[in-house]
Amino acid sequence: MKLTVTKEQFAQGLQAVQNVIGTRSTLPVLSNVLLQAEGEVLRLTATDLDICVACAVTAKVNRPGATTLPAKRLSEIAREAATTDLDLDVDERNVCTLCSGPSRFRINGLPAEEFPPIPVIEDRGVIQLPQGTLKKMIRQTAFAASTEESRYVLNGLYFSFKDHKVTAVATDGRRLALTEEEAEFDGNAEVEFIVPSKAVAELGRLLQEEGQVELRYAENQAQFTLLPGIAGATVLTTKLVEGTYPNYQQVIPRECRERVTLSREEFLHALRRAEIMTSDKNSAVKLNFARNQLVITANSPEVGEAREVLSLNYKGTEFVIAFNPLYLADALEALDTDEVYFELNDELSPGVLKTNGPFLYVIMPMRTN
Amino acid sequence: MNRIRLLPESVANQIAAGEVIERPASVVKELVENALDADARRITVEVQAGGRSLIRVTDDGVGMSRDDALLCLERHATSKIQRAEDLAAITTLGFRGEALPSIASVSRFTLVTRERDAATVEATQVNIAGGKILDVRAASGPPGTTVEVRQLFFNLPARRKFLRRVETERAHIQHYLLLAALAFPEVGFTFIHDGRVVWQLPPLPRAVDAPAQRAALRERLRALYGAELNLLAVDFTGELRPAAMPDPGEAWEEEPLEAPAPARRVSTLRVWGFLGAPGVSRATREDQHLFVNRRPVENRGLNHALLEGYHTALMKGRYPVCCLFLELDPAAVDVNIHPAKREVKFHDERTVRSLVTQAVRRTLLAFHATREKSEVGSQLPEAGNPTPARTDAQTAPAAALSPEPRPLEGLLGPAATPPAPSGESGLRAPEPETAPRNARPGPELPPPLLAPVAAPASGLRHAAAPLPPQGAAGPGPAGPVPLLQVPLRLVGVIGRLYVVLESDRGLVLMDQHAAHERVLFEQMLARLEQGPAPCQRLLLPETVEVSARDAAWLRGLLPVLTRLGVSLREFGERTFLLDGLPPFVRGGDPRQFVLELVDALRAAGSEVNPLRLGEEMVAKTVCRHAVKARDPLQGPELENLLEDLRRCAMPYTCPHGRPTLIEFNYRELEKRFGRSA
Repeated sequence: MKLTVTKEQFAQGLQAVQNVIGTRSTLPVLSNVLLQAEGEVLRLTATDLDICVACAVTAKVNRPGATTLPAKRLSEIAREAATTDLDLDVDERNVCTLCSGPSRFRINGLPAEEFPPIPVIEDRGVIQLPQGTLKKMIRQTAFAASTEESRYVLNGLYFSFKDHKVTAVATDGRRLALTEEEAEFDGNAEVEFIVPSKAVAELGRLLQEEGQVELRYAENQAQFTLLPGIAGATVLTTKLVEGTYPNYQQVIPRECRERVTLSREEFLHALRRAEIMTSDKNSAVKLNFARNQLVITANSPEVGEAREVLSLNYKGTEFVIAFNPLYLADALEALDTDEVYFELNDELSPGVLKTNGPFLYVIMPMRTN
Repeated sequence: MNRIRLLPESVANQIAAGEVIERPASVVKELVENALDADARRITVEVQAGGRSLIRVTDDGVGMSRDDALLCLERHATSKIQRAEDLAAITTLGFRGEALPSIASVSRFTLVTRERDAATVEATQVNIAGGKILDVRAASGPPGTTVEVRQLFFNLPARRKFLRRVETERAHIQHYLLLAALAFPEVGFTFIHDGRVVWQLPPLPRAVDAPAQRAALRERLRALYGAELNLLAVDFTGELRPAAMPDPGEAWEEEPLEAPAPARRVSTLRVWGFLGAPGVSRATREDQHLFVNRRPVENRGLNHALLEGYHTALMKGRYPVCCLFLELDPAAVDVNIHPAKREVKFHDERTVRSLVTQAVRRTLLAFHATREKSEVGSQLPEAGNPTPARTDAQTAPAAALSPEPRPLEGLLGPAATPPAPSGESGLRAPEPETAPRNARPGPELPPPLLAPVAAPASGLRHAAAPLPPQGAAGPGPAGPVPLLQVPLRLVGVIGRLYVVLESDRGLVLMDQHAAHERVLFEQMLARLEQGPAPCQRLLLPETVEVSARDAAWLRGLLPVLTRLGVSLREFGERTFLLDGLPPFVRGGDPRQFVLELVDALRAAGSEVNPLRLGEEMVAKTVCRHAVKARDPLQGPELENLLEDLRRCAMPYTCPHGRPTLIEFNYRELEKRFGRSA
């Protein structure tokens, strides 16, 4: 394999794929990136056996071929290289000679055959979404996913495709975030699956504001093809979380007694400040709704207390409800609207945060004494 | 055709022997118990080949007349009880009247006995082989009884096959004798194996009061274990619940016994003896000796109570070293459970457990009592009369104790949470908060002031309860002075981990990480302890299914759990719905959490420590925040750490039970340097 690639393209490509590579792998080839040169394209692929990311960059290929090389070192070289063009020449013993202006590297690689086969998804239908839409959905939900490994079903983002709508849900059992978007997909197939959190994070990083994403799925895998990509599609294939996602519909309150309109930023900052005075013992802030005013208090006997007053338009009954401020702040931060609506019933029933868009966030209160 | 027939007596005896006589050690146990019941002063146990060929137990007890000697070999013939009612309150070690005929039926048996107080000097000798009396004749002999058992199981080859090696059988015998010797220091024991004297324990003066009792036990321990053990004296008295109100939780455990006693009188439980200082432990329960009314027993409940008492002062998988005596009204305990009487049942097991836990916990806490208290303790010159000093300590606590222990007050409570001494204040199951706070020196002392009035009259029994550390401290002359009460001088740090300190007794090493962990742990628990825990409601409630037994038990605990921030609701017969957890419980499966909680609560008994839920989390967090092994610390920081450690309730171990301090006293150093013989 012999080719010339620009420093910029090479770095970009490596940047896209190398994130999935685990730092501690027992299989040496997993620390390597698979390079495949053909035509005018160099394909780069990396995997941790759960997630596989592949992308393509333009290159001048003199002799097609394939090999694997240590990803970390390659990307450092690409970053530090002195000239814009890099020449790679890989011999049959998978030793790569990399020249860039005055520098010359000899890098030991491993044969391409040792690299795990790239998963192939049989075509069962394609779902198309704008990349920006998916990116936003991920941003507004992924934070609520659980990190408790024992409840692995919750360690991911649940996607449901139904009635030309895609729904994304994440929950950790204490709060739940949900968004919905219109989507086009052929057939009236109803699909649902859970994408593991690591893949979701990776996807969130790869997605751009422009372009389309094509989603293919199989029994236990899903594939996101990002177009146009760098010089051809960037493809992320991931295993899915097996198991049944809890019935999230039933935890969403159907009606509410009070609906409060709040300025998102104001509310967020007030919570942030109040949170300073919470402690391990008392991690709750109290929201005291009174006529046209919301008083947020945090009180830890050994630390002290904080009190924030927000004025708002409120005519309902006076009541107090306690929440974990981090849970509220997480959601407020993920949003970008100016206003949010907070729907509440009483001090022990879940609260619901909504926007004008297709967003919904259910949060369980805390019982304090 | 009739197929059912009555068995001949010899067969019946052999069957009974199967229950009582398991191995040579059982023979020794039965015979020694007889000797102890016969008021012996000295008992000699001679054994050959691990008891296979010979067991001879000689005592100088009251002895028996010729008629008695013959009658005692009949089944169910005994001098120890008379009526069925006596079974309810057994004060002797034996009572079944089965041991001698059983032993006689499976061995070649010789009994020589002479009445101690009779006019005649003639002794009686009875020879039996396999249950058949060979001859009865007059013999000569000293007052008392000698029983010789030869060729045990000679007529039961199946049994003989199950005997273990000589050493094993001997070890069993020796273990029983160890227990008997600990329980009866006033009796001299001699143990001879294969002609070699293994032990010769002189009888100690009969103890008339508690301190003398402790001194005698300590002397016995020293004689049996040789070297000085790092043991703390325990002496604690609490009241058993008089009412027969069966508590919902353990009702299933003690149904028949609990029911017919609606008007039981108030009785006290005294727990005394010695237990290992924090850091003294073993990997097995080998050196954990428990006695109920001087009877060595095994009881799972008590084992748990002990562990619970030690709690963080013990590493996981380690067991306490102790020698504890429980004294209570014989009517409150049933020994007629196990043919060999290894097990006992308490009528009010729950209270007994909680009292034992309290006794242990207080002793450990008292080990690190304030300096003032130890001074009060040292004012007790002769151990004979503890009452005045105790009263003293109580009536004038504000004066004597106020300057220093102020900061301690906050810290002492939380980590240890000594539950209420149910002695004076609460007759029900412990109420963790109120009483110990009051009992501790503080600005206002309302109820405990009553105690001193009662104390002089009833002496030890009552005074011990409301005065937690003092009562348990047992300032016996032999008790070790807690390390942290000795002034320590900072010498330096080695390996950026071990702080080298000098005391007037020698060298002290402190693990800075472990010490800081302990300090943070107690501070954090103190913070957590105030008030009921908040509860983070769950979005997706989980159903938890438990066994029917657990379900009944859990149902009774629901209010307690709610107070702890665990919101659990009934959801069918054996199913509960978990819809809220304390916020500091993170990670893990909520269902798993509840199941573990059930197990933990069951093990801990009724005494739910609200902090127990968060403790593991706290210990973990603390471990993360504590200074690490390689963090360099400066002099003032170290001194402050030491000072903080001094203020801890359980300073000698980290939350995981590892020691924080190690001491090398001068004697040890001298020994290593060959300066002392």
